[in-house]
Amino acid sequence: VSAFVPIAERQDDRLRVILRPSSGVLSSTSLACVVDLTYLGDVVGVEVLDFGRQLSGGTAPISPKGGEVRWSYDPEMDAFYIHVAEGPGQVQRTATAVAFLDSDGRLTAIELQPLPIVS
Amino acid sequence: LIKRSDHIVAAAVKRVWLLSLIATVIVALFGFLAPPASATSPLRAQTRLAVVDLSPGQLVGPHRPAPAVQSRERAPNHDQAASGFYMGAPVCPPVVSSISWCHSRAKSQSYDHPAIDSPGDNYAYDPLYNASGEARLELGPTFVATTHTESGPAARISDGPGLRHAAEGGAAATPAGRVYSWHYLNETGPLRNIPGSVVDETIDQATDTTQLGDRTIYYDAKNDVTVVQSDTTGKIMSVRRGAP
Repeated sequence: VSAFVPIAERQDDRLRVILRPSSGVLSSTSLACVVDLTYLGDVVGVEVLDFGRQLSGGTAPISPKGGEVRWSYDPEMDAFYIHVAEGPGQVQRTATAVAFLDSDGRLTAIELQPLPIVS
Repeated sequence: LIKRSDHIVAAAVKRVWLLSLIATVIVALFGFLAPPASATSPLRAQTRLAVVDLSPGQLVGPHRPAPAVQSRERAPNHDQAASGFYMGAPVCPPVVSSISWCHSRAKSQSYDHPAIDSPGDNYAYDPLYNASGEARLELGPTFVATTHTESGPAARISDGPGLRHAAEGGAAATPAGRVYSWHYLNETGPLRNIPGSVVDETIDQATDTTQLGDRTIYYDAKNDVTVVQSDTTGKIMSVRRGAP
C-alpha cells in the first residue's frame, strides 16, 4: 500500500487541497484567508490567521517534510500556512476558503472557489 | 640592272624571314626552359590556423572562491526601490541589540529602502528562484539575523534550517527592531519578499489602523501594504500587499 501524498487539484476556478485521506467528512466551515499568487495567477500558498479560532479548536494534521504540498502551524500566532506550489508570491488576495474536518476535528481538505484573480 | 636589284631584295627578304624564324624558335625554346613565374599573388582574406606564442586565456589573479549567485550583480531594478532580503551576507552590521537585521547588498549600510511606489512592481522576481528549491532563500527573500549571546554574536542564519531554528527563538526583526513571528519568518516572509523597512514604515506612517482584540492591523496606502502585529507579543504576524 503506497503512502498517501497530499495533493492540490485545480479545476477551472476551483482549488482543492487534500491534506490527508478521510473516510468521511463530518463538518465544513468557512475560513478567511490570504492567497499568495504569482503574477500569472498561479496559487503558491494560502495563509490562514486565527486558524484555530476560525475552526473552533480544529487542528491541522502533521505535515509531510518534503513535497510540493506541505503546511505549517505557528501556535504562538495561531497562523496556518499551506504551500501549494513553489515560487514567489508576488500578489496577495483575500479570499474565503472552505475547510473540511474529520471526526477528530482535524483538517482534511481546503477548497477555494472561486480562485482570486490577478488583474 | 633591274633584274639584279630584284635579286638583292629577294635575298634580303629571305634573310629577314630566316632571322625572324630563328628568333621565334629561340624565344619558344627559352619559354619552355624558363622557371615558373615568381611573382606573388595579391593577398586575399583567408582563414588559417597558426601557432601563436601567447598563453591561452586571460590573466587572472589568485583564485578566490565565490559562492554562486552571491557574486552576481542583480538586475538594476531589483534593489533600487526596495530591496529584497539577502542570504549569506558577507558583511553584516554589528549587533547593536539582541536582534539585528542584516542586508549584505548594502555592505553594512543602513536599511534605507525607499518606499514602494506601486505594489508588486518593486519586488523583483529572480528567475533563478524556481530553479533551486532550497536555495530560494539565497536568491529571493532572506532574513539574515544574528543573536546576541554572552560571548557575542552567534548563530547567524544562513539557510533554511538554520533560519528556522533561529526563528524559533524569535531572532529576526525589522530594522526598527520589530520581531517577526515564526510564521512570517518562515512561511510568508520569504515568499512575499517585503523589506523590513517597508514594514516599519507601514506601522509608523499607517493611513489606516484597526485595533482588534489581540492585534493591530496597519495599512499604509502609500505602499499599499498591510501589517498585522500582535499586541500581546509585539511580533509581526503577517505582512502582505493590499488593503486589509
